[in-house]
Amino acid sequence: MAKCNVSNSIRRLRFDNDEMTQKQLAETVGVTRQTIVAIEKAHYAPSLELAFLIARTFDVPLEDVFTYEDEQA
Amino acid sequence: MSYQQKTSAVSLFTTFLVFAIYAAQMLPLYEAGRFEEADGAAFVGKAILALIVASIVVNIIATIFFNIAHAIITNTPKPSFLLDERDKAMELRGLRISFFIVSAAFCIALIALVFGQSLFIVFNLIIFSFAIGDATSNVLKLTASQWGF
Repeated sequence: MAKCNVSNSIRRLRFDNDEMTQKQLAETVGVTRQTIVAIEKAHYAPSLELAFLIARTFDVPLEDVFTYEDEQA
Repeated sequence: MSYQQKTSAVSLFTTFLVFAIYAAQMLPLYEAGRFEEADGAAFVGKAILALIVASIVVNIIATIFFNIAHAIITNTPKPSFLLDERDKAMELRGLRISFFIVSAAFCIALIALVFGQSLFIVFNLIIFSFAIGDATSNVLKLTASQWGF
C-alpha cells in the first residue's frame, strides 16, 4: 500500500470540532469525501493550498494539522 | 465507491464489451482470409473506424443509463461532478500509463510490420493498445482508494 511521509491529525481535529464528518470537511474545503479519507489514511499528500484550507477550517496552524515524517533508514 | 469510480467501472465494462464483440466479429473474417483480398486494407480501415464510432456511442449511452440508474438508486438527482486535485492527479497518472502502453504497442506493431505481418494485425495491435491503456487507467482509478497511488 502506498503511504506518504505526511501524517496528520485531521481525524482528532474533526472530533474536537463538533464531531465534524468527513463529508462536511470535504464540502468546506472543496474536495470529495474520498480525498479526505485518503488524506486521513496518509494515502495522499494534499497540495499546499488544500493543506492551508484544512488548517484554516480548524482554525489552527498548519503544523498542528500536518507533520512530515522522515523516511525510515 | 465515489461517483468517479463508478463511471470508471462503467467505462471499463463498455470498453471490454465493444472490443469483445469486435474481436468476435473480426476473427472469423480474418481466418477466412477476408483481409487478404484486394480491398483488404480498405476493409481494415472501415472496420476500425466503425469500432471507434461504436465505442464512443456505446460509452455515451452507457453513461446516460448509468446516470439515470444512479440518480434513482441513490436518490441524488444531481450527482457530484466535482473533480478535485486527487482525481486530476489520478487522471494524469492514468494518461501517462496509457501513453506508455500505446507507445510500446506502436513499436511492437512496427516490428510486426518489419517481420511481414499483415496490416490487419498491425492496426489491431495499435487499436487494442488504446483499449488496454484506457482499461488500465480505469483500473488505476478503481484501486486508488484502496491502495493509494
